[in-house]
Amino acid sequence: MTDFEPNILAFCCNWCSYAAADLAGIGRMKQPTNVKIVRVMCSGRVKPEFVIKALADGVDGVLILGCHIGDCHYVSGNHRTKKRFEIFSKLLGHMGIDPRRIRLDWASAAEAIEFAKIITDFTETIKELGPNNYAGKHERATA
Amino acid sequence: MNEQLREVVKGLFARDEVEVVVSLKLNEGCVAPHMYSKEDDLSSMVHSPKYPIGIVVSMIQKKYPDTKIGVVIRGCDERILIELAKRNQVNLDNIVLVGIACTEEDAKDCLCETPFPTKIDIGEKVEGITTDENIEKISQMDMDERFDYWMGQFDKCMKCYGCVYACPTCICENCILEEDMWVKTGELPPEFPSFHLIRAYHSTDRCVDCHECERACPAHIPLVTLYRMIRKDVEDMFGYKIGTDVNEKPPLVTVLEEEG
Amino acid sequence: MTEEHTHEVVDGTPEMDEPRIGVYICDCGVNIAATVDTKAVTEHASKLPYVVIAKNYKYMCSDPGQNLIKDDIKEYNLNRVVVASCTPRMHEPTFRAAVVEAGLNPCLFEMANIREHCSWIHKEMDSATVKAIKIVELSVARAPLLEPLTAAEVGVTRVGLVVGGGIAGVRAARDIADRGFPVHLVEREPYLGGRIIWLSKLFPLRKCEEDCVGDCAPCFVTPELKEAVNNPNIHVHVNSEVSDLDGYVGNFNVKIKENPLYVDKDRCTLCGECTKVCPVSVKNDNDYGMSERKAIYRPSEAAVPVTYVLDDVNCSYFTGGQCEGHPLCVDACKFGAINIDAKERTVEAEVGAIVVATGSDNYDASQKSELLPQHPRVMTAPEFERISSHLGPTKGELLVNGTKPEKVAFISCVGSREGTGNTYCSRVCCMYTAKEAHTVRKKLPDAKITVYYTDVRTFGKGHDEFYVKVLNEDVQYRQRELGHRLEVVENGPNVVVRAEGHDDFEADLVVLATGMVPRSDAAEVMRLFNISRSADGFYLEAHPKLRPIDTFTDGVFLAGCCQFPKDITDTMFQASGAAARACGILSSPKLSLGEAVAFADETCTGCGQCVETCQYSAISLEEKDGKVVAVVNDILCKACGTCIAACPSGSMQQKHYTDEQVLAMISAMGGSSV
Ligand SMILES: Cc1cc2nc3c(=O)[nH]c(=O)nc-3n(C[C@H](O)[C@H](O)[C@H](O)COP(=O)(O)OP(=O)(O)OC[C@H]3O[C@@H](n4cnc5c(N)ncnc54)[C@H](O)[C@@H]3O)c2cc1C
Ligand code: SF4
Ligand code: SF4
Ligand code: SF4
Ligand code: SF4
Ligand code: FES
Repeated sequence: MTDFEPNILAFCCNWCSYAAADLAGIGRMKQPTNVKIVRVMCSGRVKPEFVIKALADGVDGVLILGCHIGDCHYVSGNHRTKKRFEIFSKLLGHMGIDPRRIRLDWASAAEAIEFAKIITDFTETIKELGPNNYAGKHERATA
Repeated sequence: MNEQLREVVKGLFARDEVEVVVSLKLNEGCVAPHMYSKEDDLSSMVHSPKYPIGIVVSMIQKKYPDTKIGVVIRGCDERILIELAKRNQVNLDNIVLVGIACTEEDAKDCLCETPFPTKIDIGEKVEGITTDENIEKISQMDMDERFDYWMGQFDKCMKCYGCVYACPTCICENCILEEDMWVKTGELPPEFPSFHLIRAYHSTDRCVDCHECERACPAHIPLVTLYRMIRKDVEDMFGYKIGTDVNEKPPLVTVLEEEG
Repeated sequence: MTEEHTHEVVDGTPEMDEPRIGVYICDCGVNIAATVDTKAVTEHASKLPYVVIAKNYKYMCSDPGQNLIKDDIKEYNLNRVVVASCTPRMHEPTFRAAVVEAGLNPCLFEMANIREHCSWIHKEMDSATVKAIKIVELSVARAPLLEPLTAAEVGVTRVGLVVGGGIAGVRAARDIADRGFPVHLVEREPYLGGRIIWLSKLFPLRKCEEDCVGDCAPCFVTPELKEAVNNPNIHVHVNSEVSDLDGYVGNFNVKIKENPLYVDKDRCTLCGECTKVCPVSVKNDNDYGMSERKAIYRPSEAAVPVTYVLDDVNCSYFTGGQCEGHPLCVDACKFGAINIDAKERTVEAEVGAIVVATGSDNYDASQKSELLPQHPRVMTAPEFERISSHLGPTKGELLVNGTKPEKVAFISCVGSREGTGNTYCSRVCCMYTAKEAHTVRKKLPDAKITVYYTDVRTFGKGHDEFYVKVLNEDVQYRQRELGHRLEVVENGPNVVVRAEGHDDFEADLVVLATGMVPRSDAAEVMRLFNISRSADGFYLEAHPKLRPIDTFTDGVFLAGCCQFPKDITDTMFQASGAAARACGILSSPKLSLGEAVAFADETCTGCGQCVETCQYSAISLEEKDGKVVAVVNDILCKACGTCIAACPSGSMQQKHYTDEQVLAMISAMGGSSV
């Protein structure tokens, strides 16, 4: 299991979390290499359907990172993000997909240390959970 | 009970409360939705079996937006109309409801929690079924068991889209489940339950517990079990009860409460 | 509106059918190359789908680096460019400009961040290179789906609107007018000036003002107000309100409801004959009930426009009293100035920018029962301003119940800086308390004056100097803790101030330094102008430090106390600032908006979920080809994309961030090479 290098996708909003990632870079804050960032303007752009697609495509974990509540550049985009992902995590749980594979978190443009920590912690979590083999996991009657 | 129904409808016509009434018609042994007008013979009007009439109403209203329509409904039909109204598919202002309470058998058949509308014109109210063995069973399972359980079910899915088309609150003209970029088309059984995850996610703020999807499913997949589990969460987390108040906005489109 | 600029292909853009991608991997000196094997990344990129050419260069952002791209676009007929280098928050504009110079639409450029998000945060060359390759793959996967886009442009109506005719609104309107733009100034009351024409002196006091017995307002505020009324560019609407507003930056449509004054200001000679015959007498709110006025009256000698006005709420012609059928004032006016039949009218106007300057209300001291606010010897600071004003009910003689007070107490922070209730500091009370203490000293040289304060905040220019001067005028300042008990109790005809840690002080006048609170109708005004409020109830600025004048609604700016309590000096700063911001819009030939706006396609069912979701009310449901569908106003849309995730059917999309583009990147994540 220790050899497992998870493949992780992070959605970052342009104004806070992406900027935090940049600042973590400027501060040379070492992080695991597992996380790749897709930039969106606001965390409110991230459809839970994107996460379904990522899991279906074998991505091991998905981060959705926005501005803190109250700080969203678009005032309340992240309010919706929060509600959507709270409910979506529950749904994953009901379906037997470990909700720890997705994580919604906030990082302001100044929170480089916090950002690096989120990346590191989440990578650890996914390492513990092991690879996303949902697609191959279930033995099929039909197979 | 059919007699009683016809009497109520006659009353509506007599008082000029409505111009037409949408109900079910028995025709050569078949029951289908029908739009009755004042002059029509009402003797063919029946209230059973259950039929999701909301979509028909929506179609009629799109064509005749100003007509006052009477609609014969059950508990689930009312919830359907309310959810459709929230999404601008029907206009409740021009609708007069004739409420039918479902029988105990009906309720059991649908495992229905609320087998009656707010205002009952016909029939006696019976208590809803609040327990669901399937949900209890799944709740006991660990993650892997749940996944296996559901995949065992979804393996049976033949992507006939019966559930989507039967669902009265699935109103999208363009269903993303039919788009290759979201759900790989032409692939069975599904590797990953994208189809059912997306459908369940879309049901979170609109599934009215009518069971039409399950009735339509040739594979007998207990879809409503999943939708109920998530709907319960929506109720607990956001205090949102689907199909009760047309003025209540679905929680996923509104801002967080604490923040105003 | 949406379709016009959806897939518009800009002149000179190469054929869009087959994507031809150029990929450029930057070394950034050693910044990237020391940790990422840029050669390997380039090599890998050259094999990716649609990639025609992949190159590696030391500094892509340098002129030679940019030329490399420009030359290749021509040579290889590229129609997409991907640069893998630093953060797009740094050089995206640079490279966009470069591709534009070579004839490509800027939206056909895509950037991959392999510095901040890769080389700088990793040590191992192997794993960092693998990651850099993936990052480039993601961008190259998106690139073919990029579409050329042009930002929408709108014209501008070169007319301003200022709401609220206090000193803030008047300043803003004059500044806008002086730059040559017509401006509508809408004031709810029958006169301009707002609060300050009801104050006596205005701190910071200059030498001349310290000794003068008159008020400051008529001396230098009234002339300011007159300038506004006389300015041909300013359309003053007094006794008026904005009743409706729609539109967007540069193109607002406003309805102004004008209630009649019933007196023609140009005919009124201020003879006052009308007032003499008027049978109706009511309490004068502007004097907080300390005086009476008639139904036809002159609000204040400092008020502008300079005229009598008729108050139709109390006038007995309208209430069916004595004047019903035969208004006495009309007969009394020798100049025919009164038109009792004047009717309310609605003025419609198009405006390009709006300044909201609606001011604040006074804190209601009746909530502080422990301070005996109803006692005849206890008054609030605004009331004190009236009795010290030479235009006030006592003609400037300090009289309480007809007698001159001898022992005066001031209590600061009433209704401000509280744990519960108003937590903010009202920012003017310390200074006006010092000013009022000075007034007492001037008018009653022998009075005992005690100020109960919690902190003295005198941060403005000349403020602390003035405060020190007042301290030396035999005014006792007694400090207390905010949380400490302070009460006013009855003592015969007088009262006693009891403050923890201090001796009791018997007083025949107690002045409560009440702070400011948001206007009682702030919620309605907020909705009307589509702006927001902060937790304290005042209007919210777009950013407390960087954009303190702007709101979240483009083209709507804030000035004065409607945003938070401030003194006149700060109010004037902001008012001129707001006018400058508004003129910035009014003087632009066209407003250019973002490209990445949302749009709904024909599959929309009109379910309205997106409409509810949009913070900016940018989406409306409209009938199109016999069907109700969502329509996005490009100008209002801020391109957050929140509505897109609310649309179950994928009918709503965001340009430049389409579902397809994001999904392509997600697929690339899952795909091959790592
Ligand atoms: C007791 C007291 C003493 C003070 N003394 C001093 C002093 O000595 N020196 C000093 O610098 N500052 C002093 N201030 C502060 C000063 O009063 C303010 O800085 C100033 O009044 C702010 O001006 P404004 O235009 O923002 O608001 P306002 O003066 O409140 O004007 C707002 C105007 O908008 C109008 N309005 C409101 N809502 C609407 C609407 N919806 N539509 C149309 N019109 C509307 C109102 O009728 C009003 O005319 C004092 C304040 C108080 C309370
Ligand atoms: S029970 Fe099935 S058919 Fe009925 S609303 Fe829910 S998802 Fe749709
Ligand atoms: S009706 Fe049943 S089989 Fe058909 S798509 Fe829905 S779940 Fe699958
Ligand atoms: S992208 Fe954002 S601002 Fe634009 S219409 Fe959608 S929700 Fe509104
Ligand atoms: S959410 Fe989608 S389907 Fe519904 S109105 Fe908006 S664009 Fe149309
Ligand atoms: S802009 Fe960061 S969450 Fe909305």
